[in-house]
Amino acid sequence: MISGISKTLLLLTALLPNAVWCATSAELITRLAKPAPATVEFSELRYSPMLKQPLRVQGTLRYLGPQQLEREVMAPHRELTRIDAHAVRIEREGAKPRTVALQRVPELRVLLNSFTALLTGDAAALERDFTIASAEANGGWRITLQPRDGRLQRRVPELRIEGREAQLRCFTLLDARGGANLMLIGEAIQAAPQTTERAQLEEYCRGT
Amino acid sequence: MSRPRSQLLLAAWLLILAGLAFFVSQQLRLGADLRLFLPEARTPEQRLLLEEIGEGPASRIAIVALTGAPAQRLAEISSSVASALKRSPEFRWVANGEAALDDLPERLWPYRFLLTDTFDHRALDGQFLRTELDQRLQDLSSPAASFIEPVLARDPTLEALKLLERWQPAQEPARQFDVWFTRAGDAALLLVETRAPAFDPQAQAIALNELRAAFDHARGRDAAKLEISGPGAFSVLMQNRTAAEGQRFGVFATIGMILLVLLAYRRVNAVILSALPLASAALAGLFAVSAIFGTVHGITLAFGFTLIGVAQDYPIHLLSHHHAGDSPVASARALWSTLATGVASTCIAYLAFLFSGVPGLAQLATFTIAGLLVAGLTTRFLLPLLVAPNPRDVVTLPWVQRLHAVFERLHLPRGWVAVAVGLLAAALWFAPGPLWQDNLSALTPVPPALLARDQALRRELGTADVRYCLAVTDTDTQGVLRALEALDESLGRLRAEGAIGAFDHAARYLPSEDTQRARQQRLPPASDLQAALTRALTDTPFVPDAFAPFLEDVQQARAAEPLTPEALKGTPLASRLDSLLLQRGEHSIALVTLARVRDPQALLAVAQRAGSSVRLLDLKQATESLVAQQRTYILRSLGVAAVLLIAVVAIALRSANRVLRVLAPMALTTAAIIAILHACGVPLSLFHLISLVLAAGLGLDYALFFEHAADDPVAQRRTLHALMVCSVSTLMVFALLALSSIPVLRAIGVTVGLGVVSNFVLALVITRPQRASAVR
Repeated sequence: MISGISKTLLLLTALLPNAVWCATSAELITRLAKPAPATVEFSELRYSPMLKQPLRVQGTLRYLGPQQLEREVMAPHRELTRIDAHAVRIEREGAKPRTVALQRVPELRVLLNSFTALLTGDAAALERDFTIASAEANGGWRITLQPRDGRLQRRVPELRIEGREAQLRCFTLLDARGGANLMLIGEAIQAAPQTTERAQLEEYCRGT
Repeated sequence: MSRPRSQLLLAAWLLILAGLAFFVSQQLRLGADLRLFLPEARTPEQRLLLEEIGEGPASRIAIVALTGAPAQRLAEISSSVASALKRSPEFRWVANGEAALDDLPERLWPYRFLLTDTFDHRALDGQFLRTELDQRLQDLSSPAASFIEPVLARDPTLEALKLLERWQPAQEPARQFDVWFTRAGDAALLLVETRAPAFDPQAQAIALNELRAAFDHARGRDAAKLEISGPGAFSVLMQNRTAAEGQRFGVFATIGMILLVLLAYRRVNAVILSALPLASAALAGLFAVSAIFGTVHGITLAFGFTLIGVAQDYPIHLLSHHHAGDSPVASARALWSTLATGVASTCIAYLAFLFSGVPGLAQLATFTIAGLLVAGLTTRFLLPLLVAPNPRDVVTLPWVQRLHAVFERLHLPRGWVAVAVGLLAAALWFAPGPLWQDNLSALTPVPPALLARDQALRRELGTADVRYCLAVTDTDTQGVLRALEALDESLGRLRAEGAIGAFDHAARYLPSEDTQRARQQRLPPASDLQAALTRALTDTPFVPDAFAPFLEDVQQARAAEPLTPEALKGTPLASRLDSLLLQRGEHSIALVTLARVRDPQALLAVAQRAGSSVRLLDLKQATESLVAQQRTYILRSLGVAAVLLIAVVAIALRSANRVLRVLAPMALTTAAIIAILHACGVPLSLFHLISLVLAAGLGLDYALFFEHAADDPVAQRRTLHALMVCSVSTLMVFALLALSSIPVLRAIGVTVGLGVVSNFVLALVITRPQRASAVR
């Protein structure tokens, strides 16, 4: 099924001038596919112009199947977020659970869609929502996604997925205010330089 | 009249009718406001009901349920319908659960510190800010960050969000995807408040059509279904249903009439001739009403067409009495004194309605008087010119002769009459149940399944009670807002005790200027707030000057002029206030809507304790008292009408014995119908009364014609033929109506049907000269 979609995509993109690019992206995306459920550790850094230093949270990210994501924060506080196709439900220690419809937080919907597409290797789905670009050098690679929807693009100009060989390392979401969400994934948490410096971590993610 | 000339006259007549029809259709504006048929308000409750609130904001509210698609799709449709309706002038207020930040426009943001009660009991100090900021840090590292971050610098305490949440209905319905859903999750729910009151089905229909269009547009090609429930939607539904059923019966009745006339006279042109006076009467009536009153009420039309049904009999008398050897004109002249007595007495009796004090009844009287006059005059002066001479004399018809022979043998069984009268009197006296129908809606009852669904939906949304609300009156808006604030605490207590389920009022959205000023006093000055914020920001990762917009907003709130309803114009908040705050010339009225009222007494006690400016309105009671008052007016008019009628008949007949014989059938019939209906447990309504008037009119005509025939056997047979055709045709039409599923139509059908039978029989045995039986 998944390879079928990719093949169709390959055939289609072969007709386009940037066929080489897309073929590479599609290949990359297919390579990243993981069977559900998949669980990874993450360490997320939140950069914002309002913050002197970034906020860091650590926990587990569980991919439970298409459009179903669970994000459990273990430190510095405990929080459980469930994201499905429709809503985000945030449960925090000592607070009433809060549910927000996904349509009100389009960033999250994008994140979820892109995650699902990545983990299922569904290049076609990604291609529908994003302009995809990819680059590979010295075994390191990067897929850049830019939302096609204008409104969304103003809020989330770019998503970056970076890694080395078959390993996903970083997932970065840029926001329009100059802030960013940088998520180190799996082994990258230990491998990355032990700093919160955005430039250094970005450099690590780029793999250069 | 020669044939070509009579055809020319027919053509001219039809042309005039067509012209009149055109004029009327241009001129006619159909009104549907039921208030036209209600008398003037007397009590403050009635006045509020009639003049100020229509039927209360709760009755304007319709519940919209969207079903038949996946929940997420339903939520999307709900959103798009809500935003479409928010732009429509037909709707005052639309809510689907979405707390959109757009509901609080940018320019009103600083005012959130005057609208929120957060700082009434705790200071906006360093400690409070620190707790909030810690929360925001967690928010920032959660997936909700992107939702919160854009407003964070300006609103670190999320005061705007708290306000929007507070403005949601007191009892929060279930939600999915941010919009209201039933708990079962099978339907997305919206609340819409129409500008039109519930009792204006026409204006309601316009609003509902707009709602349907918005839904169709939002739905696209999905299979989603739309349900609209509420008093307004029901009034449209029932009006359509009544009209549809009425129309269907109209078609059957017309076919029946045509067949009957063909059967009775064996001539095609008899059909046209018998229809002409009635058509003329209807158009003349419409013309008169639209010329005098401008608009014609829908009910006037319905009642009017019922009442001029008498005119259908006029041409039948002419056709039956016309016979070979006598010109049609001579026949008409011979009948005229009787016909004229009937027309004149009925018309004069209707004059009483002109002065009844109820505008709708005045219209009705105008319509009927104009119609009957025209029907009578055309039957006398125009119709004879069209009737072909030398028809078959109905006297020779075998069935007429046989029937006449049978009736000849009939005599008045006085003993039986006494027994019947006794039984009826007993029925009237002993039968349980109310004599009168006070509940207007009982006449056009909504199917129980729909009502049950409405109840269920209302429970899901916790919408306001249709029966009770509180009205607060004062000289100005600030006065009522202060009164509402004073009332708020006791209402909160009632809710805690369970006496009421929820309440809503204008001060929940817009506090009085006094309260806003008091809140301004409590807000810290710039330097204090800056210090508190600095303290709160110590050891946090926040940039020290990140919250400059917040500081600015607080200072702006401190210095601002308090927010007034005028300043809110054009905002979503204003439309909410519009239905809760009314400005009526000299005074302001605020309504407190209530949900799930369990203890009206406790509510009354709170209202009484609050002073004379607060009043508990029982809209059901107010409506019923109005209906009762309306009935008093009508009964009084009927009394006057009866006196006038007797006077006219007495003048015409000039003999006490004749007058008695002519009036007895209709008087007895009226009493009999009332007794029978009461014995069957049917409470009498306005519709029964109007039908009784028609039955009485028919009875008068039957009696007059039987009386006129005197003891001439040939004339008696012709009269018998005419009255058989009249009564059978009328009975057929109204028996059809009596089969209707709609109580209004059934009321009219049963009443008139009973009236026709009773009047005919009584006229036969009482009025017809009893020579034959006397000889026997």
